[in-house]
Amino acid sequence: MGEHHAMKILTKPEELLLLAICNLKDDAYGVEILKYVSEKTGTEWSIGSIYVPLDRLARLGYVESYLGEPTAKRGGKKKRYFRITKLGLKTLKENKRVHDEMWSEMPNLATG
Amino acid sequence: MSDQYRYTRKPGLPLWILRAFIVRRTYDHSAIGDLQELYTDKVHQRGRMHAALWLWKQVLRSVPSFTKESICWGCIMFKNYLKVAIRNVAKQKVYTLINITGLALGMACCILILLWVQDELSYDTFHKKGNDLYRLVITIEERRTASSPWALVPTLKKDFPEIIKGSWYSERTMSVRYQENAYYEIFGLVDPEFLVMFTFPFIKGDPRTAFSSPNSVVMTEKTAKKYFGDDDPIGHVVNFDNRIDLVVTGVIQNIPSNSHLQFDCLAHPAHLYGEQRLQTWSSDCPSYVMLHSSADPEEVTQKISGTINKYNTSTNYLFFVSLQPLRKIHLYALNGTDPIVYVYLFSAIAVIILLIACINFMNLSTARSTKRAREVGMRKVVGAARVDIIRQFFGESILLSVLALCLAVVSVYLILPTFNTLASKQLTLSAVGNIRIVVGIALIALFTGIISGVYPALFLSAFQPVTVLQSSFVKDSRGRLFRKALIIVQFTASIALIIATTVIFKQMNYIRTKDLGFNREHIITIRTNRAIRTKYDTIKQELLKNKDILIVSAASSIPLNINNNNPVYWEGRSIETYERMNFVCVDYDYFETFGMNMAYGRSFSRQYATDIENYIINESALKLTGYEDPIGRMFSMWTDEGEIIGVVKDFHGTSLHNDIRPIVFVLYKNLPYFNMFIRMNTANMSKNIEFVKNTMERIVPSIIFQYTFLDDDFQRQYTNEERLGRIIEYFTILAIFISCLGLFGLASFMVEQRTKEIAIRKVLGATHAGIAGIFSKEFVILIAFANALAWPLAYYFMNKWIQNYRFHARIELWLFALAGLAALGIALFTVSYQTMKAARANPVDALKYE
Repeated sequence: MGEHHAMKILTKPEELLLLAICNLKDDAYGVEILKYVSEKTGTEWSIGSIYVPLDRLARLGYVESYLGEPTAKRGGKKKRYFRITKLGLKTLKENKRVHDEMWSEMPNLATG
Repeated sequence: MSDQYRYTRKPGLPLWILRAFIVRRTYDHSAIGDLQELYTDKVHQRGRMHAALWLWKQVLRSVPSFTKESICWGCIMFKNYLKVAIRNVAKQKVYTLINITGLALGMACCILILLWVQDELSYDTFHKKGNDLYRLVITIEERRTASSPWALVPTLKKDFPEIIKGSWYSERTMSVRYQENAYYEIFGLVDPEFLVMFTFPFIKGDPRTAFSSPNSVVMTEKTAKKYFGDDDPIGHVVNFDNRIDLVVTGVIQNIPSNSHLQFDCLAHPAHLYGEQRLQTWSSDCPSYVMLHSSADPEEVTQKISGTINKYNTSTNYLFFVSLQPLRKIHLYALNGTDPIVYVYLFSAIAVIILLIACINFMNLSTARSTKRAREVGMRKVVGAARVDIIRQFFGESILLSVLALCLAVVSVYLILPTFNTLASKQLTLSAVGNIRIVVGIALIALFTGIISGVYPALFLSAFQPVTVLQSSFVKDSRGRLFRKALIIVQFTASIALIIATTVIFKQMNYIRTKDLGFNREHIITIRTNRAIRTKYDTIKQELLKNKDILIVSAASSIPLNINNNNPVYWEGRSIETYERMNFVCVDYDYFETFGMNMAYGRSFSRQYATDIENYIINESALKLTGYEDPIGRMFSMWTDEGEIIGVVKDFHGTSLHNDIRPIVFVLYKNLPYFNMFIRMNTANMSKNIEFVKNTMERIVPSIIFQYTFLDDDFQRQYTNEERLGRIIEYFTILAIFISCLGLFGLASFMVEQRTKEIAIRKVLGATHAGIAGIFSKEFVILIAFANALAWPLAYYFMNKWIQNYRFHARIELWLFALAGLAALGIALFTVSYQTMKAARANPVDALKYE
């Protein structure tokens, strides 16, 4: 994992969702994730905009999911909880590092 | 809790929509569950209305992202489906061949019939003002006719402001001469307004001024070319009917084949009949009117209905005038069967044939389902939902139907010229500018794919992975029963079609061989014009000098089509209480020429000068008069009183669709147009005709010699029926062929499945015949069932059809038995290849394995 190894780039929604899953800990299922990111970003996310990236993250092996208990409120459907994997966490950190590095190199726009 | 539960049940539709778009089945429950949870919360916080709106918004916003995802996955899975489908196609060549051939044939039929139907429906649709154009229909005593009085159109235009234009259309075949070119042409004798009402585009000349001078003629492009070649026809003078000269003032485009008006030239009727005739109320020719676009045709019909009786007080009959929309003329007959019935009939046949082909597909794919059961099981185990499997099998059936479609289009392209000759049409497959055909063909392919795929898809996708993967046998009893039912359907359709074909064939044969009451063989009919008419007696004398010319006569109409009618009366009645009867003006020797026999009295004879005033009637007319001893009794047509000198035995003076009607015969008195009939010796027919031609040309140098054989004329009356009969015949053969294809496939499958059983039976001493019998028995039972269904069905429809003919063949039981046996024979023959193969196989080969 050298300095020049190609970084696995996350899209912004993927990054935000990974962060949400980490922060929500054991409560990270669809509804909570949706509420969390909607609240943080100030825009309402649709269910499609949550599940499509989550699906991709799962396929890439960055998150894993397990089923919880069904409730009547949910029409008898089970909750699907998400958890970040080691690989996911590493990728997230790597993204943050690159992110920070690039921000720190930016000249002060105000002073030139 | 229960309160909440009620809320969660409500939002069914939006969630259902959403689910349809989610491709990853693993997540759909959770995603839907999440939505439902949020929805429930929203209901509590903001009310149901708000929650519902929110939910819809969520769904609509999510659909695009899910769709994108599903397309992406669709592509990945499609690659796999395609690969599996191609492997299947390649592995089972015979089945694939049977399927594709069947579907392609079915589709080709459909496309042909689609083209045919489209053409039939397109009749007279090209007139720009077509929606406002109507033909006048006159109803006299329940009979409807398109012949209306000359004076009617001008009167209607004068009396009713809603009728803004109108024209007669009197069709006559007349001679046209230009320098050395002389031919008979079909003339439409019309009012100048005709050119403005109908859209027959002018290539040269102007429709508004073409008839401004009375001696004008307008020709179609084709006709003009015949006379003038590449010269500009405008302004040239042609001789019309050896009488007057007409100036060509316009050339119109050739008449499209889908026009019910077909003519070569247009001219004004005054040349032919004189202005005076155009003022009369005698019914003579079809007339057309154009209504104001705001006029209601129903209302106008009400108003004009009594016009004829209002002006023509000399008739005792009630005439009702009504309007028939131009676009309905071709498909709706005035009397008898509407041709649109054939449109329905053919469409039905097309659908039946396609269904038979689809059934093949269904049967063969479900029969082979056991072979694919494991594939389905594996797919399910690795996560495919039922919908995925359904989609896969639908995909396969649509793939096959698209392949079949390509084949079908190619074969239609190849067979179209033949079909055109058969159907006497000019159909083309050019997709350019004919969006309806393209859409139609696409729909046929889609329909085929879906119909043939739906059952296999549902059937195969229902397999439980545990069952199919665990045991080596897949039970298939439900499928087997269904297949049997489908075979019965196929053969019911085939047998019904065979019966229909035989009945049609029998009726056509009946017509061909029917004794019409007169001899129609070895007689030629010659069309004449005024020039021949004046020299008729000389021609007759000269012709009879040749001993091969047996007899010569003439009459105002050929005995196959006696239609003109006049008022007649007899003792005890008067011109006020008349009947209408058909009449024929005849020359001496008329009855002798056709070998018609006299029931009473004698035929016209030169020995009695008074015969010129006397009448001969047929038996039907005699019945109407009620005379017991008709000879010498008074009879009158119009007001010309005379005696009945003879009664001719009834003969068929019109087509066999109709009853024999009362007919009056008179010696001709100055009727300008008539037909000459010449009976000649059968030997040297062509030499005799040559002699007739030379003689007539010698006496009347201006003649255009044209003749037809009377029996051909007779046959021509039924060309339409014959043609349709033949088309149905071909489609029947196709239907049977496709059914047999399916049967062949199925039999081979059954034999394959029962290889071991057969081997064991043989080991235990079964004979070849015995084994063949076991298989044949099953099919015999199925076909017996099919017969039981097909017979009443076919009887019902064919009985209806044959009743259209007043004179028709009987539908006999043996026809049905024959059809049933034929189907059975064909089916057993088809199966026999497979059963014999099975019976002859060496049992060791089947049993040594394992």
